[in-house]
Amino acid sequence: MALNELKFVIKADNPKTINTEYYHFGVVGSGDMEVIMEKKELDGNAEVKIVTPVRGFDKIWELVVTKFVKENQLGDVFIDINDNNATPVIVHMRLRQALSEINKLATVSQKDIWDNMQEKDFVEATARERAIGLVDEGTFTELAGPKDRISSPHLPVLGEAIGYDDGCVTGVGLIGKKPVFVISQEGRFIGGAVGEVHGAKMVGAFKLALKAYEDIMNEYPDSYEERRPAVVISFETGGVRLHESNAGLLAHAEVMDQIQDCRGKIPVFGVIGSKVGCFGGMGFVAAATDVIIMNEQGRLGLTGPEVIEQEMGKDEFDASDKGLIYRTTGGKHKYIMKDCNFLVEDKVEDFREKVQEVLKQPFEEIEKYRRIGSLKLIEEQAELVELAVDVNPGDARDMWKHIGNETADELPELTVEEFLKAVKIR
Amino acid sequence: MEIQQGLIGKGREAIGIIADNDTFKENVIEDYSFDPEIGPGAVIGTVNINGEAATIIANDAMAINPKFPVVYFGIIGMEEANKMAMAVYYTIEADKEKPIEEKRPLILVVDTPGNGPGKVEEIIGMNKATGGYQLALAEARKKGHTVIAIVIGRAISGAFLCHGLQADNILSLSKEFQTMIHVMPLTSISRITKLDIERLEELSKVNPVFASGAEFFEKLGGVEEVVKKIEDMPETIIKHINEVREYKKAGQAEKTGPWGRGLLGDQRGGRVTRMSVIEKMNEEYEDVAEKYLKA
Amino acid sequence: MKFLRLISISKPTIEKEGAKQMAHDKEKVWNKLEIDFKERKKNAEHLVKEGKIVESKDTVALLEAVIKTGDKVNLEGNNQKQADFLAECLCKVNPEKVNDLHMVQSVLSLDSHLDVFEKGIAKKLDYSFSGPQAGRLADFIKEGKLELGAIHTYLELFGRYYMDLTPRVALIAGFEADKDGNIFTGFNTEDTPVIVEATKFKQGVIVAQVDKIVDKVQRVDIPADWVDYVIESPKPFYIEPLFTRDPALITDTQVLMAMMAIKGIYAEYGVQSMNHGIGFFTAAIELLLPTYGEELGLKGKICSYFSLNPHPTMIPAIESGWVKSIHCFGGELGMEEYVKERSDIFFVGEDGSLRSNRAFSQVAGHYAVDMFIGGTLQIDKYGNSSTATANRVAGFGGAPNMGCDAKGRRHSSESWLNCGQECGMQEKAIGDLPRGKKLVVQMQETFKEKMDPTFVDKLDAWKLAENANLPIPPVMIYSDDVTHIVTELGIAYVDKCSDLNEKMAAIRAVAGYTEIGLMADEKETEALRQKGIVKTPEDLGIDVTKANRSMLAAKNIKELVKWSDGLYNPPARFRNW
Repeated sequence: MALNELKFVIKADNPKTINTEYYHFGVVGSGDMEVIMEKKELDGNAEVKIVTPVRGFDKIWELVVTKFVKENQLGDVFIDINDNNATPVIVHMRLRQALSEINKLATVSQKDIWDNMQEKDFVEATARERAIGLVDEGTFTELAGPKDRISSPHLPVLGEAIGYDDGCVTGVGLIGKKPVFVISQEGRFIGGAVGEVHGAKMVGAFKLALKAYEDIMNEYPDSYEERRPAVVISFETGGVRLHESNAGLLAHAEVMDQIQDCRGKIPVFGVIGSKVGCFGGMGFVAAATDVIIMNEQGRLGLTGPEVIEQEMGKDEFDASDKGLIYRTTGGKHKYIMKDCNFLVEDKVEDFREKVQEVLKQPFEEIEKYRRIGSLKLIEEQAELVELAVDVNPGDARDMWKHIGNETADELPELTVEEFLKAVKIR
Repeated sequence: MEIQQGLIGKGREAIGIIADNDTFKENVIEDYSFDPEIGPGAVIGTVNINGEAATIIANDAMAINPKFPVVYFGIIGMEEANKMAMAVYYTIEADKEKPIEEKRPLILVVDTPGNGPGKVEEIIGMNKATGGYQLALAEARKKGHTVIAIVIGRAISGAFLCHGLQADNILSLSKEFQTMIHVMPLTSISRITKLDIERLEELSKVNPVFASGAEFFEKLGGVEEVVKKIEDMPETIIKHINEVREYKKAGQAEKTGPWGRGLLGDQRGGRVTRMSVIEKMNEEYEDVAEKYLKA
Repeated sequence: MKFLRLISISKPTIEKEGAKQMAHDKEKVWNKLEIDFKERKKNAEHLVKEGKIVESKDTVALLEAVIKTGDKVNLEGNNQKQADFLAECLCKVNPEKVNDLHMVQSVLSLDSHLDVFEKGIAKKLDYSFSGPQAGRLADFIKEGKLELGAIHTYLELFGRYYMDLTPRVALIAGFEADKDGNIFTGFNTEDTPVIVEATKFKQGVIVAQVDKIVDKVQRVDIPADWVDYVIESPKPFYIEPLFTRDPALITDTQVLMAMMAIKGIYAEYGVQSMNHGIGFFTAAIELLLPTYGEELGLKGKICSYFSLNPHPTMIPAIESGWVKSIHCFGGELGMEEYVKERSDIFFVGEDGSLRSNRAFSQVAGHYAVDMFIGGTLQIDKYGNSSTATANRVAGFGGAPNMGCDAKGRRHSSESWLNCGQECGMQEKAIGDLPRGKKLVVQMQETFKEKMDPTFVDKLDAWKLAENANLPIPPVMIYSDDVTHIVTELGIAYVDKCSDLNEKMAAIRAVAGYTEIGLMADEKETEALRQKGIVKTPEDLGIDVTKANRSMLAAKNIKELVKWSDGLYNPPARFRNW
């Protein structure tokens, strides 16, 4: 099958190139697209390449991109588009937005861009925005990013749209003097599910973090604590990408192995606050981190609600009852159960500040936030399981009440601030 | 393909074949003993392999866990995963003073249809149990234990992730024994991704990346070796135990485990992009490392 | 012996009746319906326990007693409220005893509404809207299981209840009844008064299911004199939360189009009274009033009076002081408390609960609003607007009634006069007399999901007419009523066009890359822009980069709850926290 690849060369009347070497914009979500615009010697022409799963609309693509190039008088530019069923109006809008961002580069500072990102709702932020926003201003360097154009080798044959970061943004930044290796999953790209490239990027980030640890221990034998690297994962995923299921599954095992390598060396943070939540095999990975930070909208678990309904019947679990889903896997519930360590408000800033705060603590203290990874912790979990047998909860509220929350029904209605004051955790 | 009488659903029988005769002590690991009422689907204990003590962990596909309605026929639920994790930790504890060559191996006998998709499992956090078992196995490996997994039946998705995929080396009976290694059957993949089932079936014959089965996993570097006869199992396991021990003694642990299988996948041509991505990241990091190491 | 004595006792009455009937040839009988009514009541006498109460277990027997073969039967399938228990029981009557029924009802919404045809109990149907059952209905028509009378708009159907489609029996639903038969329909009164009046005053039978039989009803919405039987149903009647739209699902494009509508139409004409058709575009408009509307200084100048269901997305605008009054067609699940506490805005009884009334809201929507605005699925090159697809008979609901110019209107308003003044084809029709016009606005993106074009050469309605044997293609709003078309590319002020050709060019100008839009001529489009017949977002002075979700006064259901101070109580399926 393969994907449909289109190429157009367009000559505008008074072409001018863009004022940057390279710019990437957008997310290859369903009905959307990403674009890279690069300066390139083309004799004044603009070259447009489009990779899309859609067939039969070549003519319309030509019209849309020609219009865009001509109305903006672009030349000596290479426009590289990965599309996933975007309508002409979305295509035009994204191209216009990308160009607008490029033009702003001259006047808007990186600091302003970063500041805006901090104010954004975490749940609305893209993976890239979260990666940049979770570390100190201006310190993020993306690794194996869209510029390298590494996309999935397996999706095209299935006719599925590709993305130049395969739905995973990896890189390194700083929090204070600590190198922080960031993995940020994009839920809009195939549900953030893990394929070969996505998984390799996760593993690669861990490997680099561990190498940095070795280097810093060697370089600063007496003052490594303030430079101890960390890994921060912004989870947004359903688990294994079915289109590449075997590769995805093997990648999950590799990541877990890396987390074990980090034990006693560098702290690993799991940050969960995006629309898709963290499910499937990645739910296991999240549980294995040192510190988990969630907001109200975040969800963490193994099985998705539809599958539970299918298995147990609608009377036991109604997947259309969103309140039930949040009571079962949402941030507030996980906080009560001590499956997440911190519950924060909704902005990117709130997450970054919490990571920063925890990182100030000595490593031995950070390790105490763990919920699994030793015999003692597993025995504690086993006790919790036996408690579940006794309480036999029909609903998470039964556990909350058992733990001592008399006003269990009201807890979902409270703001985060009110909740943290009123709640009793396990 | 000649279909052979397999071992699906026969975890206990497999233990009998793999271990030295009559050496299976169920629910016992050194001084520790387990409550048989807890996690009946997980069979753990001590056996002798080639004369030396080893911990064995298997699935009992005939068992039903009366406390958890979604846990039956070999499904790994919370009790099961926690029990398996504890078996590993007790093993580590038992041999903690011993040198590598004396640390007892762990044998994972894999025949499980999956994890428990239940409401209580989500409320209490099934992901911690499975994650916990994975971490325990990874720790055992890194402390010098040899972990060998052998797939005798079904190795599905998250259950295989925790019971199998953290091993040093993974073996599997061949497809003639109806072994099943996959994330999901093609019918489910088709339904969820809305990809045409015929197309998937066609592709699965040649592309190991989502096709089900030991042979495909072998190509991807997910399985080290496929075993063609049941009676070859004990010998093959012993061979791999020795091989892995040698690597660990020589400080070459990266040749085994999930990372080692990643290298295999590259060598065998099943997962070629993976290595190039990791190398690219290394390259690009080198260019900026100074900024981060000397902040 | 006993038998003879009985006859002799009742002889005088029979004689009198008999005399009437024997005079059949010489003199016409003018109260057949009354006689028939009394006979039905007698058949059911033994089922009545006290007052007008019949036990739920006797419902099927009751229906078999009071319904006769060939009857016109109304069953409350309203937009929101469903007499679901009575519908189920109707499906259980013996088709040998009762068949060939002619169903006249507003909405086909439950499976039982079609099961009754499958079982051979009902044969013919006249109705207005069938969204949830559209596919199955199309199949039934094709297979001959159902004979379609006609699809109507609500007010039209209500009118026919008083002409040639008067129900013989009406099966209705309410919250409470007392033993005398007074019924409280409250928040979800909807179509009940209009149905009951038509039925009862032509000697028809009224059977009501209620959630609870009480000593004294909270309020009398349907008086006991008009009701024959009340049944306490095993479960409360079903209500569809049709009009709740989750703000989290509103897209940036919908925000842009809403901004265009507010600036280019609402503000431009000074639209004070309106109906918003169901959908996300209007939800976006509602949520932009406190933000974008405020920015433009429009409070008090637009959006004061609504003929509208209690949309949760109206809460921010109400709370911000934009709205003076809303009359509702029906209720909306979760809004009960909020409405009760806002009795200055809504039509609320002394008892504190809403009184809705679809018939009167539709009247207001026809004559008393300045504008109808809503979404659609397809628009043809002439500007005819349709929601019909080839294999689904969905019907119309209220749109044709509200989405048309009310030629009988005589009172003026700023908006009505402004629109009439610029109507390009008016002079050709009535000479130089000034006359106003209702704004009828249709909104849709040029392409819907999966690159499905909105603008087409020929409406799918043609194919549907063929497939379902309809006399003419079902069109929701005809081109001569459409005054404005809004797409993501701009607004076509089609009403300003002086002839059909110019109108078609204006439509092409906003139809983007669809086959219709690709036929647009650049020079023609430019000329139309000069004339102000086509306006792009730039022409309207709207900064597209600012057009995104952050402009919405509430971005999700939880924020709506906050706006309402906790009075809004969203149904489970919308509660995602």
